[in-house]
Amino acid sequence: MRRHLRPKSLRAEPTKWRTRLRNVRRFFDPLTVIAAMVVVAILIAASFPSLVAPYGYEDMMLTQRLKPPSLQHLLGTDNFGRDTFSRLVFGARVSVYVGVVAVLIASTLGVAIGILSGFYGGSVDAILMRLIDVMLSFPSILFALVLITLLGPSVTSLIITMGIIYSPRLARLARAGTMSVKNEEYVEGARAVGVPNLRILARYVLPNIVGPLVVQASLLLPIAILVEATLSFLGLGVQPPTPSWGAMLSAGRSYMEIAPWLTVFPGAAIAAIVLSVNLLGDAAQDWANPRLRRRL
Amino acid sequence: MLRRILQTAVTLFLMSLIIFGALQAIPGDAAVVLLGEYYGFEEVTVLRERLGLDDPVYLQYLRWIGNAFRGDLGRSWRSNEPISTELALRLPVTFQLSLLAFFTSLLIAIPAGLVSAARRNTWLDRFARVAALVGISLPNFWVGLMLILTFALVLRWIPSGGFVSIRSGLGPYIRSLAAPALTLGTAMAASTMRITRASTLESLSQDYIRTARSKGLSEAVVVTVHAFKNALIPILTVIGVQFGTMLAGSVAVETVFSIPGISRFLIDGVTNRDYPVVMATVLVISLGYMVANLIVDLLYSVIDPRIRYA
Repeated sequence: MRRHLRPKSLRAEPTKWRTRLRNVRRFFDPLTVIAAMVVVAILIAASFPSLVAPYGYEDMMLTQRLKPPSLQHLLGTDNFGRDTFSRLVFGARVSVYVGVVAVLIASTLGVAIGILSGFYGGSVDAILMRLIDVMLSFPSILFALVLITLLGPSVTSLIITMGIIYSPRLARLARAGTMSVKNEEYVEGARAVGVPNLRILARYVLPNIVGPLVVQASLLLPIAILVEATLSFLGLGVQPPTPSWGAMLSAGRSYMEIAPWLTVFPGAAIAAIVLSVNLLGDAAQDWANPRLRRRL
Repeated sequence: MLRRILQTAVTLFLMSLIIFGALQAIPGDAAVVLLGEYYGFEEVTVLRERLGLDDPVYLQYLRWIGNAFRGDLGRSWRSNEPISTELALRLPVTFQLSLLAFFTSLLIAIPAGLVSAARRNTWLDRFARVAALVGISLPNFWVGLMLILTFALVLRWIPSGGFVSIRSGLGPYIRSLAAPALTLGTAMAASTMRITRASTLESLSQDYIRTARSKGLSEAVVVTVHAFKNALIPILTVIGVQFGTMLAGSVAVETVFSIPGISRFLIDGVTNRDYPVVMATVLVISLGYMVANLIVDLLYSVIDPRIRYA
C-alpha cells in the first residue's frame, strides 16, 4: 500500500489515549454490540429457563399440535403440541452447558499435557507429541466418531469426546509457551531456592503463558457448540426428550412441509449463537492484538 | 518427495494403530456384543474362535491391516455383508459430491477474496467479510434443510433428497447434487475467502507490485496475475485443511439430502456400534484425506519452483 512507503519516523504515532479510544470504539462497533446482546440474551435463557419460557419443555398440549407461530405460541408448536419457543429456551441451557464444559475439559487436559511435556521433555514428551501430531493431522470428526462408537451416544460421552479431541491444540500451545518460559531467570531463581516443580509450574510458568491459551479456548467455544448441534442432529449426542437445538432440528425434519417453523427456528438459534460468539471472539482478538487488525 | 510420502505412510500407520487400539478398548466382549442378549457359553467360545479373538492383540492387528491391504475390510456385524463391496458403491458418490463442492467453493471464494483485497475497507469488502463469518457460523445441515425447504418443497426445482447417477441423464444428476454441493461449497468457501484476502493483501504490499503498477499495468492485471499468483501458497495450504472441513460437513449433508455416500455409512456404523464398519470407513477416509494433502504438498513445488522436495 502506498501509505507504507512513508518512512516510519514521519508517521504520527497515535497517543496512548487515542489508541485506547479507538479500541473502545472498535468494541462498540454495531455488529459487535448486537452480538454481545445476543450472547447475553442466550445466557439469561440458559441460566433461568423457567423464568423466560412460557411453558415447560415437556408440556404437551394435544389440541395444539403443529400450530404455526401465534401470540399464544410465539414460534409455533411441534407434533406433540409442545411450545417451540419454550423448548428453544431450555435447549439453550444444553448447548451452552455442553460447549462450555467441553472447552473446560479440553483446556485442562491440553494444558496439563502441554506444560508437563514442555517442562520435563524427554521420552514422555516425544511420545505425547507424536500422538498429538497424528491427532492434529486428521480431521477431528473422525476421532469424535470413533470415541462415540466406543462410549455410546449420550451427553456425557459427547462432552468427554470433545474434551479429548480438542485438547491437542491447547497442549501444543501450552508446550511451546512452557519451553520458552522455563529457562527464564525467575524460573531458575525459584528452582534455586528450592521451590518444588509442581509449584513452579502453577505459580511461575502457567501465569506467564495463559494469555494465548485463553484466546485459543475462546475460539474453540463456537466450534464445540456447532459440533454438539451436528452430532445431536445425527442422533449421536443429546438424546430426547432433553431439548437440544440439533435434536429439535432433526425431529422437525419430518414435518418440514407442513410445519417449517420446526426446522427454521432451532437452526436460526444455533446460527445466532455461533455467529455472535465468533464476532465477539474477533473483536476480542483485535483488542488483544491491534497489530493484526484489518489484516484477516 | 520420497520423504514426504514416507511421512504420510508413517502417519497412516499410527492412525491405524489408534483406530484399532481405541476399538480394542470396547467395554465387554465383542463376541458377547455380537450375540446379543441370549447366548450360551459354547456359542461364545465358538464365535471367539471364528473371529480370532483369542489370538494375541498384535496378531489381530496384523490380520486386520493385512486383510485391509488386500482389499478385504471385513464384514459388517449388522448385515454380515462384506464392507469393501459397500464402500465400492459409496465412495464414488461421495467423491463426486466432494469434487463438485470443492469447485463451487473455489468459484465463490477466489473472486470474492480478490475483490475484497483489491477494494480493501470499502462496503464491498466489509460485506464479503461479514458474509464469510456468517458462512463459517451457519450449521451446514441447517443450510441444507433451508435449501430443501425453498427449492424442493416450495419452488419444486429439485428433488428433496437422494442421489441420481449420471447415467440417468445430466439434468437429473445435476439437480440431485446441486443443493448438497452448494451447501458444502459455501461452508468451505468462507475460510478460503478469508485466506485469499489476507494473503493477497500481503503480497500487494510487496515491491514487485509497485513495479508492476509503475509499468502502467491495469489494476485488474496487477491483482489477479502479480499479487494472486504469489499469494497462492497459503491459499493452497488452507484448501488442504478444507478437505477435513468438507468431510465433517459431508457427514451431516449426506444425511440431510439422503445421499448414499461413505459418510452416511460411517454414521450408520456409529449408531449401530458396528465396529468393523467404523474401523474400515475411518481408515479409508483417513487414507483419502492423507492423499489429498499429499497432492496439495506436491503442488507447492509446481506453483512455486523455489520450493523443492530434495
